[in-house]
Amino acid sequence: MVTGGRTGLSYTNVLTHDALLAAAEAAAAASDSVTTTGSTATGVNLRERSASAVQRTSHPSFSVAPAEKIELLRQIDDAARAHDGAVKNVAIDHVAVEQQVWVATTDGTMTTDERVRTRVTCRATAVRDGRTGAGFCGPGVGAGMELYELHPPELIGVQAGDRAVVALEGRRSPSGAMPVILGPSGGGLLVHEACGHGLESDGFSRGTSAYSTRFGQQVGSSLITVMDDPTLPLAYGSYGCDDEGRNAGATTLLDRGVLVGTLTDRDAATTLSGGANGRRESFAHGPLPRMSNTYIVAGQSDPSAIIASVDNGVYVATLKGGDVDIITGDFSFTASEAYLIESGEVTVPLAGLTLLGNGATALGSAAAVGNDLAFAQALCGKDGQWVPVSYGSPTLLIEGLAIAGGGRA
Amino acid sequence: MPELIDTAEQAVGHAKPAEMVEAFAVRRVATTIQVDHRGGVRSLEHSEVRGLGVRLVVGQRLGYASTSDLSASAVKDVVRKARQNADGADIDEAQMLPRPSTAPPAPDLAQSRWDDATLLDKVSFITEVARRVVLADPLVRSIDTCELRDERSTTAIVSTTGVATVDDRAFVGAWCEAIGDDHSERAADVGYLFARCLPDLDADRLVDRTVKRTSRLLGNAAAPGPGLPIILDPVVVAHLFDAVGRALAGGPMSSGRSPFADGVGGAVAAPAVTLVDCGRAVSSPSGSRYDDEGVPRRDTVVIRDGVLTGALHSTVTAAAIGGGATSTGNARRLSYRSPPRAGPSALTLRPTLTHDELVTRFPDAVYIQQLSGSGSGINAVTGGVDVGGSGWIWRDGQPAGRFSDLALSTDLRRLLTSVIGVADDVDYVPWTSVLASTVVLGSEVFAHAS
Repeated sequence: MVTGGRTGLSYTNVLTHDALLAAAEAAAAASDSVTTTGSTATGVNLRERSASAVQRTSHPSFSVAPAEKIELLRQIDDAARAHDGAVKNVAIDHVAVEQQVWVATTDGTMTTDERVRTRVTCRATAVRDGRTGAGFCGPGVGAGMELYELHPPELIGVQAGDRAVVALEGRRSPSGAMPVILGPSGGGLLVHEACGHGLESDGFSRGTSAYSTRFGQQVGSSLITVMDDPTLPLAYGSYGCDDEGRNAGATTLLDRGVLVGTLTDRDAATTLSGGANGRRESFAHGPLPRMSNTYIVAGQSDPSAIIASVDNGVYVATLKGGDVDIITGDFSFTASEAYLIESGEVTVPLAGLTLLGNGATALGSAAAVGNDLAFAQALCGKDGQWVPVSYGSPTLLIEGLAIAGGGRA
Repeated sequence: MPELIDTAEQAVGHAKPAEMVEAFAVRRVATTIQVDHRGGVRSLEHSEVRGLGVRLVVGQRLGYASTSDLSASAVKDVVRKARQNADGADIDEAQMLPRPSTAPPAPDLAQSRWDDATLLDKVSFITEVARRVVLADPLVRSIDTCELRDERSTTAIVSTTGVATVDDRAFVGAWCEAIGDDHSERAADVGYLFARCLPDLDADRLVDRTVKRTSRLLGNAAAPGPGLPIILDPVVVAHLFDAVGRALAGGPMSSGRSPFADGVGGAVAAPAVTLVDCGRAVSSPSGSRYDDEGVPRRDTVVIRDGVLTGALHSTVTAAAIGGGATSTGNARRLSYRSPPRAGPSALTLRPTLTHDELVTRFPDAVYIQQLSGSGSGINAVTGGVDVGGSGWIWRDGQPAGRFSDLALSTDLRRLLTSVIGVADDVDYVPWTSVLASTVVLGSEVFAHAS
């Protein structure tokens, strides 16, 4: 219940008439306790409408017998272990979600959406000569068992196993400012964390985002255009309507480096330009402005030519994750798979490589954007809520990014 | 709450011969109040959740199912689903349920005074904190969010092996993220406080902690010099030892997915390290009479004077690791929807020095107040620690220049062997399973600033 910009939220998982009524009364009581304005309840005639489903499946996970799914996971496990004898442990999770969403609001609409998503995560651990390396592969789709047609089980196992083995071999990474090439997965996480979170409207409208005073300004290289698009078909972070019942649509966040859009929930949409990005982890959570599928639009450069252009730098294939202080824009990311670039060629693997910098500065230092856009999938956490997202990027060259080397050679 | 134990007993009553069945029934009521940067209430949330989880073991196969519908037919159906799921599981000899404990029950940790706090009391408390934080120090310009959450739950656990427990749990926590600005730099940090009931939550302390944590990240920049000892803020300690706790859980320890898996009986830490999981700690929200499979919680020493003495176990992980291991009362569930797993409840480092001794013995040091990238940069399987750090130069206990670009690259075992002192300022750090204190490390631990 929203009154005067303040929110009362109540929920229950007991779907009886009495329990639902009690929850509604609790929300009203909560709202009354935080506002001074009185109101009189009036009935609402709801018009039902269906959002266009952008996640769908012709092969639902729930139609497949558990034994069949277990067999797929065994194939992943076998592939990871067979890839290298150093792979000692493999943990695999298959998670399938089918959701029917109804959002009824006092503006008179009842919007429905159907969502389906499936993800498999494989974590491999390799041990050799007293060193332990971890590898991860976790593809997801906005569909059902089609996941395994797009990502064959053997390939998932081999990728996780290979990353664990490469992690064993990493040598101490260099330190200092140098050219960094981010592979598609790494660049996507960078733009998600270092740019996307700062453009979510809550921090933006409170003035706590590093970007909040920069609307209309050049905040990135002219090579960089950033989109958030919850309507990408079959993508992991997609939806037909957001969790406040508004029709999903693509939002341009940066247009050739100029900040032109934000990610808004219903509350912020009245004052900020942006798409329908009010999202919740579940019925037990209030909506927050969140990303969906966020990506840097593909450029013109050949990825191999980008690598060949660097005499001395690093290639970061994947990032484990990282943190961004949205107030300052400063970030820290740790690489899970990185290599040295010497004389235009990717050479030895590196361990313990941390990227330090500032989101706007890094995007402003992008010197080349590849033509090989690709996505990775994840659960994104914010204020204790986790929602499915994807992030993508082409190969990206950033000049002069600070690297802090460590490694446990 | 009689109906919860009735529901659990009803579920167990559907067990067939040769089946072991455990029912975990819960009711949880929570309130969350969020205050915005203007000091007004942004949102107020009230929730009530009830649910039942059924663990069924038959022929050493585990099946689990849960429901939020506590009607008689749904209870019967959830047992049937657990049985069906057990059919598809592999045989696991470690799958078993605990027997009733003969230990006397600990006193109830929930506080009756909790019930006396009204919604208005809670709103007044947190709005007052938000108002005072921005008035306390000119460097602190605003807050991002200030939040109070309280929660009260009752769990009932009944099993065919004879366990029958009811446990009340309650806590209230408050935290405030403040934004500081000295015209050249901005900085933000979170002050936090936890108690069992609202009257025990000290607003003065929360305001003071929030303001101090934020303002000391401002000021002139300085470069941390080599060779100085490293002092870790309790929040940093909590994030690092949360990973240590996960690595010392029975599951990873029995499967080899822990950097400590081969270390039991040997030195894995400096002699200054004695690490205890305080299962009944009143000062942690995880502290309770029973764990999430009805085994009494207790204090478990996992590292004594640097030597690893064992792992944190549930009934299943103790059986899996063998060698006479028994549950340490560390079974934990995310909710009624999942079976219990072994994990830490309230890890505590035994103090070796007072705060005054800390200042006297370490007049010059590098103080790390915040970690970045800890979510993915600390790996409890490999033990790798690759994160960023920010903080300030410590001179006689006072800030003498801030820094924000320290790269921390080490591993959990090196970290433990580098501990040279543990202060006595033990306190619960939210979102972790650690009762943390300030810790001093030798200078050799970390990498360098970029």
